[in-house]
Amino acid sequence: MADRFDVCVVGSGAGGGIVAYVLAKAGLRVCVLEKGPWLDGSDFSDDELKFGERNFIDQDPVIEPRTFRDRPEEGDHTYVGKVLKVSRCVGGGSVHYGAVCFRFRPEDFRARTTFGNLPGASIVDWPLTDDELDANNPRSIWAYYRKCEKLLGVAGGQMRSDASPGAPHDGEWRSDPYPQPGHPPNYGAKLFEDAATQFGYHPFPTPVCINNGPYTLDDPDFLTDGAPLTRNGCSYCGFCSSHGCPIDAKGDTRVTALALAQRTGRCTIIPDAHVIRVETKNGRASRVVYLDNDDALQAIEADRFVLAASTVDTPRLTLLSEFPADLVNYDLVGRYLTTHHFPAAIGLFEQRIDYYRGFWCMRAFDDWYFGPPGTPKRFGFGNIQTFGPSSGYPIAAGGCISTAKFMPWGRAHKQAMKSYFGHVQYIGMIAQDAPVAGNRVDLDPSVKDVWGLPVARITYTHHPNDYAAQVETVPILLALLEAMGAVSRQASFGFASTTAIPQFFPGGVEHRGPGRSFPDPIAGTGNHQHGTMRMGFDANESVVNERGRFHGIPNLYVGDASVLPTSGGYNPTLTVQAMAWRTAQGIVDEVSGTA
Amino acid sequence: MITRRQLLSRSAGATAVAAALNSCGSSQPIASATPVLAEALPSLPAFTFTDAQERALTAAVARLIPASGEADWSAADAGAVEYIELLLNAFSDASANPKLYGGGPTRPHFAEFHSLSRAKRLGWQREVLRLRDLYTSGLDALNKQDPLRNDFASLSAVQQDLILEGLDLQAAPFFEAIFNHTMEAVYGHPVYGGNRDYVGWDSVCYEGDVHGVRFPGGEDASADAEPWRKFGGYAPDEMIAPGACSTSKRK
Repeated sequence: MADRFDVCVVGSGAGGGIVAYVLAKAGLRVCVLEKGPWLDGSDFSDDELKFGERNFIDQDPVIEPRTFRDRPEEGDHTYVGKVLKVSRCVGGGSVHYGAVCFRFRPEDFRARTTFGNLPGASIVDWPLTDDELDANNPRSIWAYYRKCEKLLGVAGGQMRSDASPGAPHDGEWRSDPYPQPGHPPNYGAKLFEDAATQFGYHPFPTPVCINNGPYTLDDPDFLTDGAPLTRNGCSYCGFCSSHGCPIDAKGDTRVTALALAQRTGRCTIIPDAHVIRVETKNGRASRVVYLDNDDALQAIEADRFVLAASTVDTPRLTLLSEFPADLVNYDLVGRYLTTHHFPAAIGLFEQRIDYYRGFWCMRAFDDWYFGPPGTPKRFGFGNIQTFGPSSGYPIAAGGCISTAKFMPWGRAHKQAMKSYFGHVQYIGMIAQDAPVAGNRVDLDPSVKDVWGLPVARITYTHHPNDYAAQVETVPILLALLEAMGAVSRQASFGFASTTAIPQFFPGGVEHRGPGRSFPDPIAGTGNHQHGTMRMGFDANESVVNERGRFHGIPNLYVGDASVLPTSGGYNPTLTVQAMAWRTAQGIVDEVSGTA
Repeated sequence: MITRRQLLSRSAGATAVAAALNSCGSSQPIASATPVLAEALPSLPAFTFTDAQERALTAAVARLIPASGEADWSAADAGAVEYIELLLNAFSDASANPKLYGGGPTRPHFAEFHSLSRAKRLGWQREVLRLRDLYTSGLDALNKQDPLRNDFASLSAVQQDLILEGLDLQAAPFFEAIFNHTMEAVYGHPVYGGNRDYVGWDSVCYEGDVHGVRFPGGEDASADAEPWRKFGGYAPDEMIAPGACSTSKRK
């Protein structure tokens, strides 16, 4: 039975990478199937065209488009292309992301209790017990966060030059120190920090799994063959978000969790393995079927399977698999998609800001996390941060903060580029969007990928609460930019359906009709995605149970962002990883009979 | 390893497909329809514009980013036509990797283009063929805008702008392609055929790729060097105090 595995994990990203590491380290034989290639640092480069425009690692519409519509009344879809992209390569979305690593707050895990519900929405408490929210419990969610932070090497809190490097700042709700001290700011982040302080807010270095100096993981609790794992410090090149890191300074799962999983000798990673179906037999998942890079059909058998293919592709695979209807709550598969909403503002400065130096998000504050400070806690807000120092490239890889494709063409072009490129700073909020049943992933009825399979369709309309929160938040962002010295300021309302790209110069995309220069109709500024395989205690209200297991299939689990019942007001990845670790620990307990 | 296509050419049916499954234990036939990835070609035939098409293309990109005077450069001077031609010929050399994704991690390796997976080859070959059609028909249509000479390039700049503006307002797919590709050409890395002598980056004072190219000899290899010295990047004091145009460090 040489080819039989204890666990097969579909997807090697933020969640799947953690799952593979925890299981292999615990002694299980693990197979990881990744649809994209297995790249290393030398495959990455400071090349906006390769990553941002030609989708070297992104979801690539020329092979697997996705479709979008605001609502069913619009017809089958209104857009075909790049929607809610994540990287397709070993390490998945953790390879391209901005590496921001926040912990959600206790209130986020008790969202219904804290905020109540909203009309037409389904705000729920997460299926974590009170014990699991107890900081002293070694199996608490906080313990999983702590492990993830150590494994990935999260840098945050006070800087190396401060009194207590790595200790959280006053404005942070956490008390645990960070494994590495906070990074120094770039110019725009420094202006932001000073302005926020002037307003009485409490800015701090954004926690990121980007090494602040060389980082050596030598804690034996984390190592798998005794040998420490050392990675380089960040060189602040700016090719961070949307790019893979050529020097392994970003803690993507490829160079952290999966590198250690490999060293166990029990983890097999198969790249270019395009999973097309999970099969069941006698009510249990029996094997996954995939096409390899030679177009040959292959299958992997295992005792257990973990789907970690992303918020869009995990429900798609579940739908493509056509499980017996009595095993899966198909009515809920794909529903409650959340993407965050992004109240934001862009400031234009006379002087150079050079926002492309450094990384995506260098400073943040939490004073508006639950809405305007000093008011009762409300749903719909989140962390305010600098957006996109690292993605300010001259073509368009940074979305609306980038330049050439958002500039007028013709005689005005060069002057517009000169006054815009390097002169803007973008700030915004990672704001919690309301989970709504009608916002969902399903299969498009007509569009197929290159293999001939139906592609994922995203249907998404913002809840009125999201709009209300933006209207309240944007003025403070504009005021901050004014205090930072911006000579001109633009509000940017980041909505899925109505994403309006603010234009400083007439002739930009708003003047040209929809979709021309801004290819992603979702969310405008981000690709956060969660919620489509909702986790919950009640089989009628969720797809997977509190351990991440399908309610009706006892050996099939989900280990990615799709299980998140609500989106929180922070960049979600560290929470995805803590939850994946928790689910993997549950599998280990089950196998060892201690569950 | 037997590919599914080879197998199907020998015998058809569920039994054969099941036999191709490389799994131990009892392989079951696959009930529902199996997906098929069509064969990508080893290469595409080389592509060249006609003289008339190339004249129109050169004129059009030079209106999208025009020169402001005799001494100034336009997108045509910056290599936008060459960029587009290289993209349309990405698969024209069967003996080399497609010229789509530059290599890494540093500039000396950028010309070592990546190989592509079968799916990527197929998808991008289709895309290149689509773009070839889009360009040839779009450029022919541009020339027809000049009914006398059938030559867009000989129209006045104002006439050319009006024609392009009309296409832009209609969100014509041809205009989308030529606009996006012109911007990519001028502000992308020169390995893709544009940004000649870094004129695009110099015009906005942008250093571009900084890993391994900012220091003499490419990088400072001493093991204890700060990362921005060892690999190239920005020191903290350069992050916090930008301003001086420093593209000279790139060369």
